[in-house]
Amino acid sequence: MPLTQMHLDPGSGRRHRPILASLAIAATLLATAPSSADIAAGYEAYQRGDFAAALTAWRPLAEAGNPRAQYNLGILYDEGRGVARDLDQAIAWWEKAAEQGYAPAQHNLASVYIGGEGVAQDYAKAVAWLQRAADNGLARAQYTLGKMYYDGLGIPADREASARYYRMAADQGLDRAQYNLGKLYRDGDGVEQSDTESVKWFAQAARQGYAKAQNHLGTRYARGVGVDRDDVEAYKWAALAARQGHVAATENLKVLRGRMTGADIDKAEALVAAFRPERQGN
Amino acid sequence: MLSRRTFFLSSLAVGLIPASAKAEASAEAVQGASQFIQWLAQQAIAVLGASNSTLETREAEFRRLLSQGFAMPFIGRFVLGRYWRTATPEQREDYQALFAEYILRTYSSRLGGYAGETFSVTGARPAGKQDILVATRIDRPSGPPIKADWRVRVFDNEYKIIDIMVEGISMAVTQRSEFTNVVRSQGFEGLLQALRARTERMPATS
Repeated sequence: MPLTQMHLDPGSGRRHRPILASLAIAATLLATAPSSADIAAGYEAYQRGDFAAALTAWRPLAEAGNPRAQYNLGILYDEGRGVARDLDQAIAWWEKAAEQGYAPAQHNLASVYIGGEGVAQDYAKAVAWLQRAADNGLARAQYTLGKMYYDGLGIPADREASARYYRMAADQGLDRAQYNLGKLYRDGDGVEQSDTESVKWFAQAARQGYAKAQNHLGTRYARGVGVDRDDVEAYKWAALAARQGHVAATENLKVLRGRMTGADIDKAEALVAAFRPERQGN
Repeated sequence: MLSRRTFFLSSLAVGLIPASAKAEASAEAVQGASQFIQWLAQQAIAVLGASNSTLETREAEFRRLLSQGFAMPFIGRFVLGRYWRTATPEQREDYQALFAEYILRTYSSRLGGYAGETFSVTGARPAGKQDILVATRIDRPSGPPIKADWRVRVFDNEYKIIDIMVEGISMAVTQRSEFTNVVRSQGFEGLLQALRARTERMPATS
Protein backbone atom coordinates (compact mmCIF):
# COMPACT_ATOMS: atom_id res chain seq x y z
CA MET A 1 0.00 0.00 0.00
CA PRO A 2 1.44 3.43 -0.88
CA LEU A 3 2.09 5.67 2.07
CA THR A 4 -0.44 8.28 0.97
CA GLN A 5 -3.34 5.85 1.25
CA MET A 6 -2.70 5.43 4.92
CA HIS A 7 -3.57 9.01 5.60
CA LEU A 8 -7.13 8.37 4.49
CA ASP A 9 -9.51 8.91 7.37
CA PRO A 10 -8.59 6.13 9.79
CA GLY A 11 -11.55 6.85 12.04
CA SER A 12 -14.18 6.27 9.38
CA GLY A 13 -15.39 3.03 10.97
CA ARG A 14 -16.40 4.56 14.29
CA ARG A 15 -18.24 7.69 15.30
CA HIS A 16 -17.08 9.61 12.28
CA ARG A 17 -17.10 13.34 13.00
CA PRO A 18 -18.31 15.43 10.08
CA ILE A 19 -16.13 18.39 9.14
CA LEU A 20 -18.85 20.84 10.19
CA ALA A 21 -18.84 19.47 13.72
CA SER A 22 -15.06 19.84 13.87
CA LEU A 23 -15.40 23.42 12.75
CA ALA A 24 -18.03 24.00 15.43
CA ILE A 25 -15.60 22.62 18.01
CA ALA A 26 -12.83 24.84 16.71
CA ALA A 27 -15.19 27.82 17.05
CA THR A 28 -16.06 26.78 20.61
CA LEU A 29 -12.38 26.47 21.38
CA LEU A 30 -11.77 30.02 20.25
CA ALA A 31 -14.81 31.34 22.09
CA THR A 32 -14.19 29.75 25.48
CA ALA A 33 -10.41 29.37 25.36
CA PRO A 34 -10.25 26.56 27.96
CA SER A 35 -7.63 27.46 30.47
CA SER A 36 -4.39 25.50 30.47
CA ALA A 37 -4.25 26.27 34.19
CA ASP A 38 -7.26 23.96 34.65
CA ILE A 39 -5.50 21.19 32.75
CA ALA A 40 -2.48 21.62 35.00
CA ALA A 41 -4.71 21.57 38.10
CA GLY A 42 -6.25 18.31 36.90
CA TYR A 43 -2.80 16.89 36.24
CA GLU A 44 -1.62 17.86 39.68
CA ALA A 45 -4.65 16.11 41.23
CA TYR A 46 -3.98 13.05 39.06
CA GLN A 47 -0.39 12.87 40.29
CA ARG A 48 -1.62 13.15 43.87
CA GLY A 49 -3.95 10.20 43.35
CA ASP A 50 -7.08 12.35 43.59
CA PHE A 51 -8.68 11.04 40.40
CA ALA A 52 -12.12 12.43 41.16
CA ALA A 53 -10.65 15.95 41.19
CA ALA A 54 -8.76 15.27 37.97
CA LEU A 55 -11.99 14.14 36.36
CA THR A 56 -13.80 17.28 37.55
CA ALA A 57 -11.05 19.49 36.13
CA TRP A 58 -10.73 17.77 32.75
CA ARG A 59 -14.29 16.83 31.82
CA PRO A 60 -15.65 20.35 31.10
CA LEU A 61 -12.54 21.18 29.06
CA ALA A 62 -12.84 17.91 27.16
CA GLU A 63 -16.49 18.60 26.43
CA ALA A 64 -15.53 22.07 25.21
CA GLY A 65 -13.21 20.39 22.70
CA ASN A 66 -9.76 20.75 24.24
CA PRO A 67 -7.69 17.84 22.80
CA ARG A 68 -5.31 17.56 25.76
CA ALA A 69 -8.23 17.34 28.21
CA GLN A 70 -10.00 14.84 25.93
CA TYR A 71 -6.86 12.74 25.86
CA ASN A 72 -6.41 12.85 29.65
CA LEU A 73 -10.07 12.01 30.22
CA GLY A 74 -9.54 9.00 27.96
CA ILE A 75 -6.65 7.94 30.22
CA LEU A 76 -8.93 8.02 33.28
CA TYR A 77 -11.48 5.80 31.49
CA ASP A 78 -8.76 3.45 30.23
CA GLU A 79 -7.24 3.07 33.69
CA GLY A 80 -10.59 3.07 35.47
CA ARG A 81 -9.53 5.86 37.78
CA GLY A 82 -12.11 8.21 39.24
CA VAL A 83 -14.60 6.41 36.97
CA ALA A 84 -15.51 2.80 36.24
CA ARG A 85 -13.13 1.40 33.61
CA ASP A 86 -14.81 1.93 30.25
CA LEU A 87 -12.73 1.34 27.17
CA ASP A 88 -15.50 2.54 24.82
CA GLN A 89 -15.40 5.93 26.55
CA ALA A 90 -11.60 5.98 26.44
CA ILE A 91 -11.65 5.24 22.72
CA ALA A 92 -14.33 7.86 22.06
CA TRP A 93 -12.35 10.59 23.84
CA TRP A 94 -9.04 9.58 22.27
CA GLU A 95 -10.71 9.65 18.84
CA LYS A 96 -11.87 13.21 19.40
CA ALA A 97 -8.36 14.30 20.40
CA ALA A 98 -6.73 12.19 17.67
CA GLU A 99 -8.88 13.73 14.96
CA GLN A 100 -7.69 17.13 16.13
CA GLY A 101 -4.13 15.94 15.51
CA TYR A 102 -3.08 15.24 19.11
CA ALA A 103 -0.26 12.70 18.71
CA PRO A 104 -0.41 10.87 22.10
CA ALA A 105 -4.12 10.20 21.47
CA GLN A 106 -3.35 8.94 17.96
CA HIS A 107 -0.74 6.63 19.44
CA ASN A 108 -2.98 5.24 22.21
CA LEU A 109 -5.82 4.73 19.77
CA ALA A 110 -3.47 2.69 17.59
CA SER A 111 -2.45 0.64 20.64
CA VAL A 112 -6.11 -0.20 21.29
CA TYR A 113 -6.57 -1.45 17.70
CA ILE A 114 -3.36 -3.51 17.90
CA GLY A 115 -4.32 -5.06 21.25
CA GLY A 116 -7.94 -5.62 20.24
CA GLU A 117 -9.19 -4.48 23.64
CA GLY A 118 -12.82 -3.36 23.57
CA VAL A 119 -12.68 -3.23 19.76
CA ALA A 120 -12.09 -5.71 16.99
CA GLN A 121 -8.38 -5.98 16.35
CA ASP A 122 -7.67 -3.86 13.27
CA TYR A 123 -4.04 -3.52 12.20
CA ALA A 124 -4.90 -1.34 9.19
CA LYS A 125 -6.56 1.28 11.39
CA ALA A 126 -3.70 1.01 13.87
CA VAL A 127 -1.13 1.62 11.13
CA ALA A 128 -3.07 4.63 9.82
CA TRP A 129 -3.10 6.26 13.27
CA LEU A 130 0.52 5.34 13.94
CA GLN A 131 1.48 6.95 10.65
CA ARG A 132 -0.16 10.21 11.68
CA ALA A 133 1.42 10.15 15.13
CA ALA A 134 4.81 9.26 13.63
CA ASP A 135 4.50 12.14 11.17
CA ASN A 136 3.80 14.33 14.21
CA GLY A 137 7.20 13.26 15.54
CA LEU A 138 6.11 10.99 18.40
CA ALA A 139 8.99 8.58 19.08
CA ARG A 140 6.90 5.72 20.47
CA ALA A 141 4.64 5.81 17.40
CA GLN A 142 7.67 5.75 15.10
CA TYR A 143 9.02 2.75 16.97
CA THR A 144 5.71 0.86 16.95
CA LEU A 145 5.25 1.63 13.25
CA GLY A 146 8.73 0.21 12.67
CA LYS A 147 7.57 -3.01 14.39
CA MET A 148 4.42 -3.18 12.23
CA TYR A 149 6.57 -2.84 9.09
CA TYR A 150 9.01 -5.42 10.41
CA ASP A 151 6.36 -8.07 11.09
CA GLY A 152 4.09 -7.05 8.21
CA LEU A 153 1.09 -6.37 10.44
CA GLY A 154 -1.52 -4.22 8.68
CA ILE A 155 0.96 -3.48 5.90
CA PRO A 156 3.21 -5.65 3.74
CA ALA A 157 6.48 -6.38 5.55
CA ASP A 158 9.13 -3.82 4.58
CA ARG A 159 12.42 -4.06 6.45
CA GLU A 160 13.81 -0.85 4.96
CA ALA A 161 10.78 1.12 6.12
CA SER A 162 11.13 -0.60 9.48
CA ALA A 163 14.75 0.58 9.77
CA ARG A 164 13.74 4.10 8.76
CA TYR A 165 11.15 4.39 11.54
CA TYR A 166 13.35 2.74 14.16
CA ARG A 167 16.02 5.27 13.30
CA MET A 168 13.66 8.24 13.73
CA ALA A 169 12.72 7.02 17.21
CA ALA A 170 16.31 5.99 18.02
CA ASP A 171 17.57 9.47 17.13
CA GLN A 172 15.07 10.82 19.66
CA GLY A 173 16.60 8.55 22.31
CA LEU A 174 14.00 5.75 22.58
CA ASP A 175 15.92 2.75 23.99
CA ARG A 176 13.89 -0.08 22.37
CA ALA A 177 14.18 1.60 18.98
CA GLN A 178 17.95 1.90 19.42
CA TYR A 179 18.13 -1.78 20.36
CA ASN A 180 16.04 -2.88 17.37
CA LEU A 181 18.10 -0.73 14.99
CA GLY A 182 21.22 -2.36 16.43
CA LYS A 183 19.77 -5.79 15.60
CA LEU A 184 19.02 -4.73 12.01
CA TYR A 185 22.63 -3.58 11.56
CA ARG A 186 23.95 -6.78 13.13
CA ASP A 187 21.91 -8.89 10.68
CA GLY A 188 22.08 -6.60 7.63
CA ASP A 189 18.30 -6.63 7.69
CA GLY A 190 16.81 -3.60 5.88
CA VAL A 191 20.16 -1.79 6.20
CA GLU A 192 23.68 -2.56 5.01
CA GLN A 193 25.28 -4.93 7.52
CA SER A 194 27.62 -3.08 9.90
CA ASP A 195 29.02 -4.42 13.16
CA THR A 196 30.25 -1.01 14.25
CA GLU A 197 26.82 0.60 13.69
CA SER A 198 25.27 -2.33 15.52
CA VAL A 199 27.54 -1.80 18.53
CA LYS A 200 26.91 1.94 18.46
CA TRP A 201 23.12 1.49 18.78
CA PHE A 202 23.30 -1.38 21.28
CA ALA A 203 25.58 0.83 23.39
CA GLN A 204 23.16 3.76 23.35
CA ALA A 205 20.27 1.59 24.54
CA ALA A 206 22.53 -0.25 27.02
CA ARG A 207 23.65 3.01 28.62
CA GLN A 208 19.97 3.82 29.22
CA GLY A 209 19.63 0.55 31.15
CA TYR A 210 17.88 -1.56 28.48
CA ALA A 211 18.62 -5.17 29.50
CA LYS A 212 18.50 -6.89 26.13
CA ALA A 213 20.85 -4.31 24.61
CA GLN A 214 23.20 -4.69 27.57
CA ASN A 215 23.35 -8.43 26.98
CA HIS A 216 24.06 -8.00 23.24
CA LEU A 217 26.68 -5.35 23.92
CA GLY A 218 28.35 -7.69 26.41
CA THR A 219 28.46 -10.43 23.77
CA ARG A 220 30.01 -8.02 21.23
CA TYR A 221 32.78 -7.11 23.69
CA ALA A 222 33.33 -10.75 24.64
CA ARG A 223 33.79 -11.76 20.99
CA GLY A 224 35.42 -8.56 19.75
CA VAL A 225 32.83 -8.06 17.03
CA GLY A 226 32.35 -4.42 15.92
CA VAL A 227 34.47 -3.32 18.87
CA ASP A 228 37.85 -4.31 20.35
CA ARG A 229 37.58 -7.38 22.54
CA ASP A 230 37.42 -6.37 26.20
CA ASP A 231 36.38 -8.87 28.86
CA VAL A 232 36.03 -6.23 31.57
CA GLU A 233 33.45 -4.35 29.46
CA ALA A 234 31.84 -7.65 28.45
CA TYR A 235 31.49 -8.59 32.11
CA LYS A 236 30.14 -5.18 33.05
CA TRP A 237 27.31 -5.28 30.50
CA ALA A 238 26.48 -8.94 31.06
CA ALA A 239 26.28 -8.33 34.81
CA LEU A 240 24.04 -5.30 34.35
CA ALA A 241 21.65 -7.34 32.16
CA ALA A 242 21.79 -10.33 34.51
CA ARG A 243 20.89 -8.06 37.42
CA GLN A 244 17.63 -7.31 35.61
CA GLY A 245 16.84 -11.02 35.32
CA HIS A 246 18.14 -11.55 31.77
CA VAL A 247 18.70 -15.33 31.57
CA ALA A 248 21.20 -15.52 28.67
CA ALA A 249 23.28 -12.78 30.32
CA THR A 250 23.53 -14.90 33.48
CA GLU A 251 24.97 -17.75 31.39
CA ASN A 252 27.40 -15.42 29.59
CA LEU A 253 28.56 -14.06 32.91
CA LYS A 254 29.47 -17.57 34.09
CA VAL A 255 31.64 -18.13 31.01
CA LEU A 256 33.38 -14.77 31.49
CA ARG A 257 34.08 -15.46 35.16
CA GLY A 258 35.74 -18.70 34.16
CA ARG A 259 38.27 -16.99 31.90
CA MET A 260 38.96 -13.70 33.74
CA THR A 261 41.50 -12.89 36.46
CA GLY A 262 40.27 -11.90 39.91
CA ALA A 263 41.67 -8.40 39.40
CA ASP A 264 39.73 -7.95 36.13
CA ILE A 265 36.53 -9.21 37.74
CA ASP A 266 36.98 -6.68 40.57
CA LYS A 267 37.52 -3.93 38.02
CA ALA A 268 34.34 -4.94 36.19
CA GLU A 269 32.33 -5.19 39.41
CA ALA A 270 33.39 -1.64 40.28
CA LEU A 271 32.08 -0.47 36.89
CA VAL A 272 28.80 -2.28 37.56
CA ALA A 273 28.48 -0.62 40.96
CA ALA A 274 29.16 2.81 39.46
CA PHE A 275 26.64 2.40 36.64
CA ARG A 276 23.76 4.89 36.51
CA PRO A 277 21.32 4.69 33.59
CA GLU A 278 21.37 7.67 31.24
CA ARG A 279 18.07 9.23 30.36
CA GLN A 280 17.83 10.20 26.69
CA GLY A 281 14.18 9.89 25.75
CA ASN A 282 11.02 8.14 26.80
CA MET B 1 4.51 -4.38 60.70
CA LEU B 2 5.92 -7.69 59.58
CA SER B 3 9.57 -7.57 58.80
CA ARG B 4 11.13 -9.29 55.86
CA ARG B 5 12.86 -11.54 58.38
CA THR B 6 9.64 -12.81 59.92
CA PHE B 7 8.35 -13.43 56.46
CA PHE B 8 11.30 -15.59 55.48
CA LEU B 9 11.25 -17.44 58.80
CA SER B 10 7.64 -18.40 58.33
CA SER B 11 8.50 -19.50 54.80
CA LEU B 12 11.17 -21.76 56.18
CA ALA B 13 8.73 -23.30 58.61
CA VAL B 14 6.56 -24.28 55.68
CA GLY B 15 9.49 -26.00 54.02
CA LEU B 16 9.88 -28.34 57.00
CA ILE B 17 6.48 -29.90 56.57
CA PRO B 18 6.74 -33.26 54.74
CA ALA B 19 5.22 -32.84 51.30
CA SER B 20 3.75 -36.35 51.22
CA ALA B 21 1.53 -35.68 54.23
CA LYS B 22 -0.26 -32.79 52.54
CA ALA B 23 -3.71 -33.14 51.04
CA GLU B 24 -3.98 -29.38 51.24
CA ALA B 25 -1.89 -26.48 52.53
CA SER B 26 -1.24 -26.70 56.29
CA ALA B 27 -2.54 -24.24 58.84
CA GLU B 28 0.99 -22.82 59.15
CA ALA B 29 1.19 -22.30 55.40
CA VAL B 30 -2.20 -20.58 55.39
CA GLN B 31 -1.07 -18.23 58.12
CA GLY B 32 2.29 -17.67 56.43
CA ALA B 33 0.68 -16.84 53.09
CA SER B 34 -1.67 -14.44 54.79
CA GLN B 35 1.28 -12.69 56.47
CA PHE B 36 3.13 -12.57 53.17
CA ILE B 37 0.24 -10.76 51.45
CA GLN B 38 -0.11 -8.43 54.43
CA TRP B 39 3.61 -7.66 54.29
CA LEU B 40 3.55 -7.03 50.55
CA ALA B 41 0.47 -4.85 50.84
CA GLN B 42 1.93 -2.70 53.60
CA GLN B 43 5.03 -2.07 51.52
CA ALA B 44 2.91 -1.34 48.46
CA ILE B 45 0.65 1.13 50.25
CA ALA B 46 3.71 2.92 51.63
CA VAL B 47 5.22 3.20 48.15
CA LEU B 48 1.99 4.34 46.51
CA GLY B 49 1.10 6.73 49.28
CA ALA B 50 4.40 8.65 49.09
CA SER B 51 3.52 12.21 48.14
CA ASN B 52 6.90 13.48 47.00
CA SER B 53 7.01 11.83 43.58
CA THR B 54 4.90 11.56 40.44
CA LEU B 55 2.29 8.85 40.04
CA GLU B 56 4.40 7.25 37.28
CA THR B 57 7.44 7.07 39.59
CA ARG B 58 5.38 5.66 42.47
CA GLU B 59 3.85 3.06 40.20
CA ALA B 60 7.22 2.06 38.75
CA GLU B 61 8.39 1.44 42.31
CA PHE B 62 5.16 -0.45 43.06
CA ARG B 63 5.70 -2.66 40.00
CA ARG B 64 9.24 -3.42 41.14
CA LEU B 65 7.93 -4.48 44.54
CA LEU B 66 5.06 -6.49 43.08
CA SER B 67 7.36 -8.31 40.66
CA GLN B 68 9.26 -9.77 43.62
CA GLY B 69 6.04 -11.24 44.98
CA PHE B 70 4.81 -12.82 41.75
CA ALA B 71 5.84 -16.20 40.30
CA MET B 72 6.14 -14.40 36.98
CA PRO B 73 7.68 -17.11 34.73
CA PHE B 74 5.18 -19.64 36.10
CA ILE B 75 2.19 -17.39 35.40
CA GLY B 76 3.54 -16.44 31.98
CA ARG B 77 3.81 -20.07 30.93
CA PHE B 78 0.38 -20.93 32.30
CA VAL B 79 -1.27 -18.06 30.44
CA LEU B 80 0.31 -19.09 27.14
CA GLY B 81 -1.12 -22.63 27.41
CA ARG B 82 0.09 -25.04 24.74
CA TYR B 83 1.72 -22.25 22.72
CA TRP B 84 4.63 -22.08 25.16
CA ARG B 85 6.01 -25.35 23.75
CA THR B 86 6.02 -24.15 20.14
CA ALA B 87 7.57 -20.72 20.80
CA THR B 88 11.24 -20.16 19.86
CA PRO B 89 13.71 -19.26 22.64
CA GLU B 90 13.79 -15.63 21.48
CA GLN B 91 9.99 -15.46 21.39
CA ARG B 92 9.82 -16.91 24.90
CA GLU B 93 12.29 -14.36 26.18
CA ASP B 94 10.46 -11.44 24.56
CA TYR B 95 7.15 -12.80 25.75
CA GLN B 96 8.21 -13.23 29.38
CA ALA B 97 9.61 -9.69 29.56
CA LEU B 98 6.52 -8.15 27.95
CA PHE B 99 4.13 -10.29 29.96
CA ALA B 100 5.72 -9.26 33.25
CA GLU B 101 5.48 -5.60 32.31
CA TYR B 102 1.90 -6.04 31.12
CA ILE B 103 0.65 -7.85 34.20
CA LEU B 104 2.36 -5.40 36.57
CA ARG B 105 0.89 -2.42 34.76
CA THR B 106 -2.53 -4.01 34.79
CA TYR B 107 -2.45 -4.65 38.51
CA SER B 108 -0.89 -1.37 39.49
CA SER B 109 -3.51 0.66 37.66
CA ARG B 110 -6.38 -1.57 38.86
CA LEU B 111 -5.33 -1.77 42.47
CA GLY B 112 -3.24 1.22 43.31
CA GLY B 113 -2.64 4.90 43.07
CA TYR B 114 -5.56 6.23 45.04
CA ALA B 115 -4.90 8.77 47.76
CA GLY B 116 -6.00 7.41 51.14
CA GLU B 117 -6.32 3.81 49.94
CA THR B 118 -6.32 1.09 52.62
CA PHE B 119 -5.82 -2.62 52.30
CA SER B 120 -6.91 -5.38 54.66
CA VAL B 121 -6.57 -9.15 54.73
CA THR B 122 -10.01 -10.54 55.51
CA GLY B 123 -9.25 -14.25 55.54
CA ALA B 124 -7.16 -17.13 54.18
CA ARG B 125 -7.91 -20.76 53.32
CA PRO B 126 -6.31 -23.72 51.51
CA ALA B 127 -7.11 -24.04 47.81
CA GLY B 128 -6.48 -27.18 45.78
CA LYS B 129 -3.66 -29.49 46.85
CA GLN B 130 -0.96 -26.96 47.64
CA ASP B 131 -2.19 -23.37 47.28
CA ILE B 132 -3.58 -20.81 49.67
CA LEU B 133 -6.23 -18.26 48.81
CA VAL B 134 -5.80 -15.00 50.75
CA ALA B 135 -8.90 -12.81 50.73
CA THR B 136 -8.38 -9.05 50.83
CA ARG B 137 -10.38 -5.86 50.58
CA ILE B 138 -9.17 -2.56 49.22
CA ASP B 139 -11.05 0.49 50.48
CA ARG B 140 -10.93 3.88 48.84
CA PRO B 141 -12.19 7.26 50.01
CA SER B 142 -14.25 7.45 46.81
CA GLY B 143 -15.84 4.50 45.08
CA PRO B 144 -16.83 1.00 46.19
CA PRO B 145 -14.32 -1.36 47.84
CA ILE B 146 -12.59 -3.98 45.69
CA LYS B 147 -12.46 -7.62 46.79
CA ALA B 148 -9.40 -9.48 45.60
CA ASP B 149 -8.30 -13.05 46.41
CA TRP B 150 -4.61 -13.79 46.00
CA ARG B 151 -3.65 -17.36 45.12
CA VAL B 152 -0.32 -18.10 46.77
CA ARG B 153 2.03 -21.08 46.31
CA VAL B 154 5.38 -21.93 47.90
CA PHE B 155 8.35 -22.10 45.50
CA ASP B 156 11.76 -22.96 46.98
CA ASN B 157 10.63 -21.94 50.48
CA GLU B 158 9.28 -18.60 49.31
CA TYR B 159 5.69 -17.53 48.99
CA LYS B 160 4.76 -16.33 45.51
CA ILE B 161 1.50 -15.08 44.03
CA ILE B 162 0.32 -17.22 41.11
CA ASP B 163 -3.08 -15.64 40.43
CA ILE B 164 -5.45 -12.89 41.50
CA MET B 165 -9.21 -13.35 41.58
CA VAL B 166 -10.86 -9.95 41.34
CA GLU B 167 -14.51 -10.15 42.31
CA GLY B 168 -14.28 -13.93 41.90
CA ILE B 169 -12.81 -13.90 38.38
CA SER B 170 -9.37 -15.44 37.85
CA MET B 171 -7.07 -13.05 36.00
CA ALA B 172 -4.84 -15.92 34.83
CA VAL B 173 -7.72 -17.92 33.36
CA THR B 174 -9.18 -14.81 31.70
CA GLN B 175 -5.82 -13.89 30.24
CA ARG B 176 -5.19 -17.42 29.04
CA SER B 177 -8.33 -17.48 26.93
CA GLU B 178 -7.60 -13.97 25.65
CA PHE B 179 -3.94 -14.66 24.79
CA THR B 180 -4.45 -18.03 23.15
CA ASN B 181 -7.17 -16.44 20.98
CA VAL B 182 -4.71 -13.79 19.80
CA VAL B 183 -2.04 -16.39 18.99
CA ARG B 184 -4.60 -18.48 17.08
CA SER B 185 -5.74 -15.56 14.94
CA GLN B 186 -2.59 -13.38 14.65
CA GLY B 187 0.30 -15.72 15.39
CA PHE B 188 2.89 -15.37 18.12
CA GLU B 189 4.26 -12.07 16.78
CA GLY B 190 0.70 -10.74 16.92
CA LEU B 191 0.53 -11.55 20.64
CA LEU B 192 3.90 -9.92 21.29
CA GLN B 193 2.78 -6.82 19.41
CA ALA B 194 -0.49 -6.74 21.39
CA LEU B 195 1.42 -6.90 24.70
CA ARG B 196 3.83 -4.28 23.45
CA ALA B 197 0.93 -2.03 22.48
CA ARG B 198 -0.65 -2.33 25.91
CA THR B 199 2.54 -1.58 27.78
CA GLU B 200 3.50 1.32 25.50
CA ARG B 201 0.47 3.49 26.24
CA MET B 202 1.39 7.18 26.60
CA PRO B 203 0.63 8.59 30.08
CA ALA B 204 -1.51 11.60 31.01
CA THR B 205 -0.01 14.99 30.10
CA SER B 206 0.08 18.30 31.91
